[in-house]
Parts: sequence; C-alpha cells; structure tokens
Amino acid sequence: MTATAFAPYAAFVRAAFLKTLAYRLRYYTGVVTYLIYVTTYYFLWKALYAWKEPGESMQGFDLESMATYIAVGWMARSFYFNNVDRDIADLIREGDVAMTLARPVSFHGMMIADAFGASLFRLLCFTPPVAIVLFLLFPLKAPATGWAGLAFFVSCFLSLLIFAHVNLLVGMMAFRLHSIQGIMRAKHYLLELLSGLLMPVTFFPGWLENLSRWLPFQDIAYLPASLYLGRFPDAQLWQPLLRQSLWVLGLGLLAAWIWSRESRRLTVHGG
Amino acid sequence: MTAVDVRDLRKTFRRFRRREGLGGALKDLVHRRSETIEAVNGITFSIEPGERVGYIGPNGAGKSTSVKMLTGILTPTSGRMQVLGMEPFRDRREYVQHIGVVFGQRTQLWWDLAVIESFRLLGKMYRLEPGRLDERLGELREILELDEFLHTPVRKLSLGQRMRADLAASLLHRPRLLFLDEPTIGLDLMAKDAIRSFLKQVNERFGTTILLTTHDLRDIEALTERVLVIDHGQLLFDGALDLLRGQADQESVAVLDFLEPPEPEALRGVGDWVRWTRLSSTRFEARFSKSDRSLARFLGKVVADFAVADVSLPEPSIEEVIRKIYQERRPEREVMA
Repeated sequence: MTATAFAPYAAFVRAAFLKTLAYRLRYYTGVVTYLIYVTTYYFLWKALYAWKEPGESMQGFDLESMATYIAVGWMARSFYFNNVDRDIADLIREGDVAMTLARPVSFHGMMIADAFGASLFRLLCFTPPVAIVLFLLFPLKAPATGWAGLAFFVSCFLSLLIFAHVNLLVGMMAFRLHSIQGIMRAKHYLLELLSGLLMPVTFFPGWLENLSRWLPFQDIAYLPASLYLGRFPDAQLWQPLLRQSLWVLGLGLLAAWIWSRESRRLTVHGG
Repeated sequence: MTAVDVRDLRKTFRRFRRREGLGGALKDLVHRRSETIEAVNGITFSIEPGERVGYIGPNGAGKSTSVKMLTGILTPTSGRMQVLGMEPFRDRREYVQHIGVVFGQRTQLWWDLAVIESFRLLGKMYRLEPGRLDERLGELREILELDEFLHTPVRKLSLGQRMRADLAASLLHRPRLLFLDEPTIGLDLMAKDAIRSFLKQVNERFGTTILLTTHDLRDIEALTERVLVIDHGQLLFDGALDLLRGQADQESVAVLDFLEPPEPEALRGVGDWVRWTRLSSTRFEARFSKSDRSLARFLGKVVADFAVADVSLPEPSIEEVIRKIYQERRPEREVMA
C-alpha cells in the first residue's frame, strides 16, 4: 500500500479527533468516574492485604504494586477505550450504514481509524488529568525502568488495536442479529475480567489463567500494566510486544474474513 | 456505453413472523416461522448516460431496495446488474468513486463537524487534490448558497440547508451518476424549487445521469423526462412522462359549479355516459370517456340545461395516473397507502 492509500484513513483519524473534541465536556465527568473506580478497587485490595504482613505479596504483587497495577490499568483504559461495537449497532439500527457504505473506503479501516482518532484525543485531553489525579491521590510506583515505561506506552497502542478489533467483531454480529444490546453488555463485563482490568490474570483459577493465555484479552490490560511494573526483563520486552502485535494481525484478518462473508447479509433499515 | 443496465434483478428477504400474544411469543421462542419477502421481483431496465429518470411507486414497492442494490450497498439475490461497466456490490470501493448518493432522510456529513470539515474529509476520501476541491466548491457554493453555513456544524443546519450541503457533498468528486432517494422530502416549496433547478443545471452542465426516487410528483414533472413505475417489486411502466400522462387521458374530468343545487334527476338526464360525483350541494364532478366530440357534447348539454356558474377541467395528476396503472395491472391487490 502506498501513502496515498492511507490518506482517507488519516482524514478519518482527524475527523474522529475533531468529533470527540466537540464533546470534550463529557470527559471532565469521566475523570471523576475513573477516580471512583480506582478508589473502590484500591480500598478493596487494601482490605485484602490487611490479612498479610506489611510488604508481603500475593501472586507476586505487594500492596503498592497492586495499587499501581490497578491505577495504571485504568490510565491505559482512559486511552484505549472505544465504542466501536455500539457505533456499528447504531449504524445498523438507524440504517445509516447505507451512507457508510456509499464511501470509497473499507468499512474495517474506517471503524479502526475512527477509534484511533478518538483515542488520540483521549491521550491528549483525558488520560493526563486521570493520571495526574491518580498519582496525587495514591502511592503509585513509577515505571520499573525507562525501557519498561516505553514498552508500556507502545503496548497501550497495541491494546487500542486489540480492543477496537474485539469491538469491531462484536459490532459485526449486528449484521445478522440486528440487536446486540445483550451481547455488548456481556462483552463489557467479560472483558473487564479477562483483560485483567479488575485483577491480574495470575489471580484467576488455574484453568482460567491457562485459557487466558490462548485468548487475546489479557493483552489489553494485564500486559501493559505488567510491562510498566517491570515483570519482564528489559532484554525480553520485545517478546510480549511481538505476541501482542500478532494478536492485532490475527484479529485484523479475522475481521476482514468475517466482513467478506457477513456484509452480504446486511439489511438496511428504513426507507 | 449504457450507464445502467439491469436484467431480471431480484432481492428476497427472509423475515420472521411474530405470533400474537403471550402464547405466540412463547411459541416463537421454540420455533420461529419465517416468510420470504420478494422486495424486488425481476426488474429489467437500462439508462443511457445523461438521462434524468424518475423512479416512483408507493411505499414498500421496492424502490429503496433497488436503489440500495444499484449503489452497491445490498447484494442482489439474483439477476445481472452492470452500472458504469461495474458490478456495484462486488466492485463497491472502486464503483462508489464514480457515483453520488443522496438519501433525503439521512446525511453523509459528519453531524458534529462544520460543513467545510466534512467537505475536506470527503475530498480526502475521494483523493481529490486540495486545489481541485476548492475549484469544485467554488462552482457549487454560489448556486447552492453554501457560504451562509459553511462553518456551522451540520447538526445546527435547517433541513433545507442540510439538503443543499448534502447535494454539494455528493457532487464534489464529479460523479457520472447521481442517485437521489427522496431529495426534497420535508422541504418547503421554495427549497424544493431550488433543489430541482439545481439538479437540472448539474445534469445539463456536467452530463450527470440522474436517477431519482420521490413521492412528490412535482419533482418528477419538473425534473425527469422518463419515468419508471414500480409496485410489488415489479416494473409497471417505463417510458416518457407524457406517455404516462396519456394513459390516464382516456377519461375526461369536469368540475361544475351550479348557481343552485341541481335535481339529481336532471343531472342523470344529461346522459348515461356521464358519471357524476357530488362534491358539495352546488359543486359536482363529471367523468366520461374521452372521444372526439364527447367534451363538446357534454358542455353544450350542461350549459343549455343548467345555470352554470363555473366550469373547470383539471389536468389528471400523475398520482391519479399511477393509481390507475396499479389498478389496471393488479386488480386483485389493494394499492398500498
């Protein structure tokens, strides 16, 4: 692909950025919501660690690491989160998918570019206040090493692509099912758990931890936070990032294949 | 080369039938009954470059479904469809670069962005050079009076402004073929006129082929030379507008105002070839089949026998013409409202 082939998608990224900017007020309340989540989980973990000696760890996490894990997980989420699934469901329900398809661009590329643009806005305007508030209020650790911090940053972009593709796949179910409210809700809670946002996957029962290894979800939240905490030696940082990239590629191919099959089933509501 | 060539086009949908009541809902949980809907049922037509064609029919006739197939959004169930030498669905991304689409009830613009931002974005999408985009905008901004809202977010536009913006958006890449699905819906008379004359200009200046669906028959009268009439997924008429009008001209209609209420007996006395309908106590409508002397004979007799205040001979509206075609071709079915 040449650079001009990407030009429309770059334009989509820009439009998504501007579109999100129009609703920036919404993000100020978002900061409070994120703060409430992190506070809740912080005190929950604190209560659990009260049974331990000070400095003692569970599954390799002491209280300070656990607080950092939770806070960094939510900071990352403030960047990679998107509603691609809901956007597609709305396009189908309102029949606006017709307008989307009348454009000379790939649906897949358009949806991912949209998510990417919104996340760039979040990175500039939402993640910094979330991070500042969390660092001021909780005793959080800095990244383990400079390289770990960099790997965390790169990993968040790959998380964004995995998260967006999972949502794209869920959203495309609406081609067949028309209403996917229930599925989206189930996905939301499953993803909070399986991504490692609520707790590190090492806390899962053995079978679930093993299963998670074969799924892309833990690379959304567990991996970036683990990189931040230095759970991988600097020399091996490339390995998890490579695996994460392969998941992006795999999910991308899966989405392309499903689109080629399912777009034929599309029905357009309304006149 | 033909612009649009459609042969025996069909589209069937499967729809689940919901049974009534709680018991029905429970039965549906176990076994859903489906039925097949033939939305488009074997349509054949072709359109030459530069033509302006109206596509009309009642709600649910299959107009929108066929337009969605022609624009590459839906796949046909069967049949052959060549538009601008391409197969719309299969070649979608290449194909849509050469067509413009306006759906009156939807917008292709970005709701939260200023109009000009949407245009820039579309320019990028159609890979127009920036200079080319400005040039096209320059052509459009005056006739569509875009300047008054170029920097306003789309969600704040009036319906008429939005439609003008959408029309401009659909023409930025100078499409060879323009599909318009109810482009004047909900607009006031002035705005409708503006849109109609604009479309005519586009067609004449750039040779853009236009296919237009509408419920407003004045759109058809003002814009198109040729009409396709569709109902129940089938093509009922394909030809010049005048020919369509001619079909209904087999009957003359006269509306008469009498100075005082006429005796029904006396009206019948005019002749059994006249059918009378009472519109008010002194206003009556007369219908009779058209022949060389029938109108003269009718008027002569009425003026001689009654004190007539006024006579008018209304042109048959196209709506009426279409209703007649439906009734003739499909007498066993009710016309859908």
